[in-house]
Amino acid sequence: MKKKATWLTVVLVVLGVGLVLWNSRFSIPDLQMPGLQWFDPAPRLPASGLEDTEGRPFRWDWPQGWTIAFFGYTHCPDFCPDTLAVLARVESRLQNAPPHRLVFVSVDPYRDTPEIIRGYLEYFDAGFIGVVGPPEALQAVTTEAGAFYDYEDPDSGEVFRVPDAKALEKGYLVNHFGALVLVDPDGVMRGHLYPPLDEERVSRLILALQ
Amino acid sequence: MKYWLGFVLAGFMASAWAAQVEVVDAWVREAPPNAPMMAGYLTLRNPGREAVVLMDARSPQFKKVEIHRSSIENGMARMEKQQKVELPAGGEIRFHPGGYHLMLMYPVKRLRGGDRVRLELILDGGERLEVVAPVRRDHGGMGHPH
Ligand SMILES: [Cu+2]
Repeated sequence: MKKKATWLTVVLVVLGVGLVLWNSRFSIPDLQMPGLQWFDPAPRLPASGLEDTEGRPFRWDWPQGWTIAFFGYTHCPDFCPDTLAVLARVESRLQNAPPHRLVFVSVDPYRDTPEIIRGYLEYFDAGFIGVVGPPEALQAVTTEAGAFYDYEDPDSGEVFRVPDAKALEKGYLVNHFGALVLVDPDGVMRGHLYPPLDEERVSRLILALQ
Repeated sequence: MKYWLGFVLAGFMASAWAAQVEVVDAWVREAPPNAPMMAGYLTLRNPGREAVVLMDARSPQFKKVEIHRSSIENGMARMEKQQKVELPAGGEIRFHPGGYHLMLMYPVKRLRGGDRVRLELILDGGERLEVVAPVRRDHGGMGHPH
């Protein structure tokens, strides 16, 4: 019995949950598909610490509707622009979608400034909200959201959480959570949609976020 | 003697053919403003009877080029530098979004849709393949054609 409890604790810690879970007043949207996970109860994302690209404090709760967040970085030439192009295409084609907002959270605050993120997102869709903040605030959010990230030297494979001056000069890769994070209007993290993030899957998801 | 010569010639031609790698569907994704990294995609075909290895790539239009592979592992998106990519005999390898790509780092001058990127692929025998890849725009919006 004791052994089992220990094991369960380990699992919860590894999952990054087991902190404070909320029973949100919003019910889980009526949609199931492969790679789509819903959580109930679920963690509330920290309300403070990050800013949008206009310098305003960013809040995860948004009474008008759900938030779809993507965690990426602008030095990413392949997966991130590919995903943002899909999201932009879905946004421009979807009709009668419930109110929602798309948020890009930079997991590379050491290189991504608000101006860089703004220009990067506007290329795809001026409506995308860019968010960045100090590393401590980012770590708090990504832990609660289950959106892990770390940095890696492309040659040695060494992994680190904070790039030093040498890494900044040489350049580094960012390993980051590849799923969309779905946040309800109260700011509670309710789901993950894992890749492939194609137009069809993303459209079905957005239409279900009532 | 005649037979012998013919045999040598056929052998030579076969080995030249083996290294005759074809490159098709090459393109480079246009980068958003300020983004210092771009990705190049193409398909390599090896119609020969021997495996060929892609060892390196370069371009005069970038400070640095690497061979990378993107993947999603346990929900994590990663890119990994590849020392080489093996092209099996009679096979093909597709470089595509979310998989193998040429990591084109720090363009000397900003490249836009319609521009051309000159690439040089270096194979294990020291052979070089010249490739010209058009830059294509894919920002997802409806208002602008790609
Ligand atoms: Cu890459």
